[in-house]
Amino acid sequence: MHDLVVGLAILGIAFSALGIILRIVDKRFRKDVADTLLNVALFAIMWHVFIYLMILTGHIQHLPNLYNKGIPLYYLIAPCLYLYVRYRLHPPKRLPARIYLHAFPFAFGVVDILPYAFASSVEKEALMHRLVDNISTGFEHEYGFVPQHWHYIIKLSLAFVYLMLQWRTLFRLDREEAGTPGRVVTELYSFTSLYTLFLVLQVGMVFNIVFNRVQSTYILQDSAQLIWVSCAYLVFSAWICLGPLLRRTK
Amino acid sequence: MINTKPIPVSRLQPIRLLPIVVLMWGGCFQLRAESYHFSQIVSGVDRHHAMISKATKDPFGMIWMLSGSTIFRYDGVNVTPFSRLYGDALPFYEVDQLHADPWGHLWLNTRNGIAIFDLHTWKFVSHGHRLAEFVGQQLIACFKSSDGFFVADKRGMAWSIAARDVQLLFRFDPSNVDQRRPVGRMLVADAEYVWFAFDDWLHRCDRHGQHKTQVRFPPGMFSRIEDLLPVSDGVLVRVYSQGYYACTGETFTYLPRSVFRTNDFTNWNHWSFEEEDKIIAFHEDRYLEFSRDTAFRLLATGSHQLDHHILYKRLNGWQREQDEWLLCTDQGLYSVFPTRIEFDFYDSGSARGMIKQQGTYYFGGYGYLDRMGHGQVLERYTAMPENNYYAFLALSRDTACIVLEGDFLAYLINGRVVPARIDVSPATPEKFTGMAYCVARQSADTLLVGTYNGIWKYALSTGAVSPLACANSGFFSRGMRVQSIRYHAGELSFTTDQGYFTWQASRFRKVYPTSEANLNTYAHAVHGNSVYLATKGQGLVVLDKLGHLTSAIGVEGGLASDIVYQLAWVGDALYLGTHDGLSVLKGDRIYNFFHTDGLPFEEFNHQASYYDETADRLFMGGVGGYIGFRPSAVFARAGDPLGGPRLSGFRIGMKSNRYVDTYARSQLRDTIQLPKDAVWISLGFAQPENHRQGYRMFFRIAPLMDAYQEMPASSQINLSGMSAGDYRLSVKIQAASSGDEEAVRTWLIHKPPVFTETLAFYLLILIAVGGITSYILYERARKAKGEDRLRRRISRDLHDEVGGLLTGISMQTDLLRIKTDYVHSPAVDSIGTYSREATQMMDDIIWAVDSRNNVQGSLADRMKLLATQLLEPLEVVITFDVDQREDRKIPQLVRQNLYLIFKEAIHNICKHAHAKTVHIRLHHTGRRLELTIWDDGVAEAQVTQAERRKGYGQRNMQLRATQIRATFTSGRTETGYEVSVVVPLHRARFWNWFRD
Repeated sequence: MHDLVVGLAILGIAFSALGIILRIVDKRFRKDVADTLLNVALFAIMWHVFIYLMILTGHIQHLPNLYNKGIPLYYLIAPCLYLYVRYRLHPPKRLPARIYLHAFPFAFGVVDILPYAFASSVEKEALMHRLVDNISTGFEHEYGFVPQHWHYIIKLSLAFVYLMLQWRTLFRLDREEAGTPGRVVTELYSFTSLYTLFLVLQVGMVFNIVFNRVQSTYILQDSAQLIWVSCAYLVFSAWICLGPLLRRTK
Repeated sequence: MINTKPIPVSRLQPIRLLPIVVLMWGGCFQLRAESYHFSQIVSGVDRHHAMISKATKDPFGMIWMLSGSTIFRYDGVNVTPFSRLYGDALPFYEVDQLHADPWGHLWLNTRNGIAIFDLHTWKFVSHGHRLAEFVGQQLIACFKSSDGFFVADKRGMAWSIAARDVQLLFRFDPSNVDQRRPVGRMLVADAEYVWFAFDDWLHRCDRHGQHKTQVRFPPGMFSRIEDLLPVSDGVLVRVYSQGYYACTGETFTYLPRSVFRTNDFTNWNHWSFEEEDKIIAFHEDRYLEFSRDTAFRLLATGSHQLDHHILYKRLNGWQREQDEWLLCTDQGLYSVFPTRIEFDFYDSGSARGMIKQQGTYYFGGYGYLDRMGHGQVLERYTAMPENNYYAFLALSRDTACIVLEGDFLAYLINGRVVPARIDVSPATPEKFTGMAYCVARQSADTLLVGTYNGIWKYALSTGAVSPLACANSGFFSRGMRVQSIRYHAGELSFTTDQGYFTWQASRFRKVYPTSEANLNTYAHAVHGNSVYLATKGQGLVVLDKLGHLTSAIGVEGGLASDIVYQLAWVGDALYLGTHDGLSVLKGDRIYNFFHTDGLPFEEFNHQASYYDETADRLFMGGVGGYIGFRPSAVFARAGDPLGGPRLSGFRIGMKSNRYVDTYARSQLRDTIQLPKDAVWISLGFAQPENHRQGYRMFFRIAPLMDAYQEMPASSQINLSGMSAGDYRLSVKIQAASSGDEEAVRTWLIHKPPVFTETLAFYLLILIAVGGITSYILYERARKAKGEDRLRRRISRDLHDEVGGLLTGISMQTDLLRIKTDYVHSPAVDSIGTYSREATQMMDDIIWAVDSRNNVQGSLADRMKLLATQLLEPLEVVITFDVDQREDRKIPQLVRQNLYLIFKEAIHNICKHAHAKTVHIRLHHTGRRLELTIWDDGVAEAQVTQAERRKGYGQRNMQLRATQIRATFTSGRTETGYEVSVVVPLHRARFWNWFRD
């Protein structure tokens, strides 16, 4: 089961990477702000999954400098996906300045990773050893200005709010008024549904930890739960990579 | 349960025994270290059944006992019937023999023949097992050695059972069976031969079953045999009415020994066993060692109390298990085992200080002094008076000062006690007490004596006694019971019942504890840069040279007790006499020694320690006397090999009052699966060898505990309210005498989640919450979209239907007027004018209603259009200042009302202001929308008109501003008239996202 979780996640990472590459290679996508935002979100998710796998398999001990670097990126996932949907429906003439407000949590994340980034390699290795031994160290360690579990709480709370905005944007769309092709609308609905499923599974696991804090290590390594998250990630990334990409024409 | 009295042993040769016996008879007693110790393992299988008929120990350290034909297991904590452990119905009702082989099988001789229980699989041996052929046979005898297991069965076959194979050694005639069953052993083996006494014949066979001989017992001997003891060149036969015979395999030789004062060799008077190259015998109250051969030479003698404590309780059986013997009696089960360290014991009674003077040791205490000279014989020194001899201080080679609890001081001069002159000045304001406990030398003529009331100076030359006081601190030790004093390089340090203090350069200081709390501190010693305190409650406290606490080592840190009465540094090791044994600190390791290690007592006394450097012997006194030993000898002792921790019982409480109780099966598993509805579990752990105090047990449950805790006395761990997940229960066994040697075993306890703890449950909750939120969003979006569509439809209809009609009327009137036969009519003009105005108004309404115009530029464009249409015909110069940094849509209501306010203002200018210039400013900052209309109209006219219009235009504009929560101002300025509207756009913005 454990191997299956890892295998599915790796497959998901591969699809995500392919999706990003295709969007970068294709000029039509490369110039599209919405697709750029989607690339950022995809990379952040991919990095998140990759680091989680490194921890789960213990390999993070060999590359302690990779750990904790993704925290700022994780804050970009939800706003990027929201803006992707919004700009796909209402392509902007120019990017408004206020869009950078969405990156405020990113800045917060950057500041908070500094203590670990400046820690000595001995300390980093010791922390990685503790982390592999007890995965809940990930939200219990002292390398940060705020308690690390707040990152999970803030990140997922923001993700929930952005997801609601994403759905609201879709609901508010008046197709006959906007003239958006039905295919695009269907694609965005599917995309948002898959992302919702992926997010809900993650939040479900977090809820499980919140109400059973003692067993956080067990939950974070429980293959019976992780398998669903892995599956959802695989479907999500595969859909993003293959589905719309193959059908979409501009 | 544990007897702390020693089994004293003398190793002197018999020829030297006589003077010692004479000395002892005369009140002199020198007792050396004992070789064997004993302790009671259990007093019975329960309160009412004390008789144990057989006992054996399995390879896991569990002791199996036979009592009343029923088998019980003792795990070091609890005695549990086998029927309960097994769980199912037992295949027998009555058992008369019980043996555990070295490979984890229990051999039970039952009424229905042999039953063999496999402790590894927790099943009875049946078909297919290599031992299956023994099942159902009748067992005659068994013998277990360290490397083999031998069985004689009623088929007339003697077997050697090895780990993997079974070998038939020899056959014998089982037909004429003598039913006699002695308590001792009829089947024995050593490295070479197996001996078996049966039916008047003594059989001998080599271990490989190749050479077999048999010899008939002398007439009447077999019916009186009590035990066989294998020796190097034959076997010793103990006959209860005569003593020992030696047999080499051919003949029997009687071995009468005068050391046996009686010929009563029955089990309640005599017990013996073989040990390496000796035969150890306990005969009446005498301890005897013989050579282990047929010569049976006496090697050493001593005395013991085994007869009184064990043999008189009627021996029912004995069984050798590793290095100990299990002795089954009518009053419980006992263990006899060798002591590991030879502490010399000096029975001087409750001990205090001691000293060596001119080669003779003097032992203090209450009553007479005891002394021991070169003859190493302790004697009561009755020539000197009785007193409370508390402590000693050597003043010279032949003189020592004695601290007396009551009479203050005396001298020991050339072995004689001489009262000290004591001259307490009547003028001293302090209360003098003769209750003295310690002494130190301050100068050549001055002693410092610690008493029940502080420290007093004593002048050796004059006997003058005065309180130790200084100008700064006065009599600083007033009211303290001073228990140890050290004076060095002008610094006085002392301990009292309140703590540890120093006095230097007239400065008195309480060093420890630093708080107001008192800590009874018995002794202190300075070593290196540290001060070591023996305390009552905190164990050993270590301070640095500044008096800061470095560490406090108590029971949790590995010390034998939290109460330390005395301490002595010898070399690099600190020896501590505690309330519960001897602890030794060497480096960062702590060694503990208890009565099972050879200590004759475990409770030590204050001031009772003395190191004889010339003889390299450390003396430490306690409640039972003194022990003396070579300090380094304690480190040479090898610890017991530690067995792994073992689960002995497992109970689960579940919902609906269901309860599962498994005593033994669970111990075989490393992973324990709990049922989903388990609400409580209790785990019991075996403590094999508990009676020998060889180890301490700790446990940790991850993730509930970060560190190990000591196992409770009940050896039981209870867990309740467990949430779903994995719990790793680690049990650690640590050797009592070393922090290094330990064995750890970890069990994984898995509790599956109930539905409310599963991911599915939380997903359902999230889906429900998300669904409700999405539904609300969807409904609001649907409503907003419907409203927008309605607005668009209305504006479209108005534009297409009504607008077309009005335009038609207007065009018709225009056509009518340009006709040649048109007769001017004011009514027609009015129709034309009104229809155009109506068209204009309706156009405004259509613009205002249509939500598509909510984009920023639409409002500005509309304002420009209106102003241009109305003001340009009046030749008014219009300037626009439009700044839209935000591209966000303007709310419908705001746009509509703002436009109407603007329109009203422009109309007012057209009608009443006579203005030459109009300035219009529209700024959208993102946070607010600002509209300002300024004109330079005529003041008088405006005033007049303004007053007239106050009831209409102004009021309408104010009302519209209020509707959109805007700030509205209007009035004259120095250069004209100004109308200003400021609309805040970000109030409750987040909420409005959802509300709109």
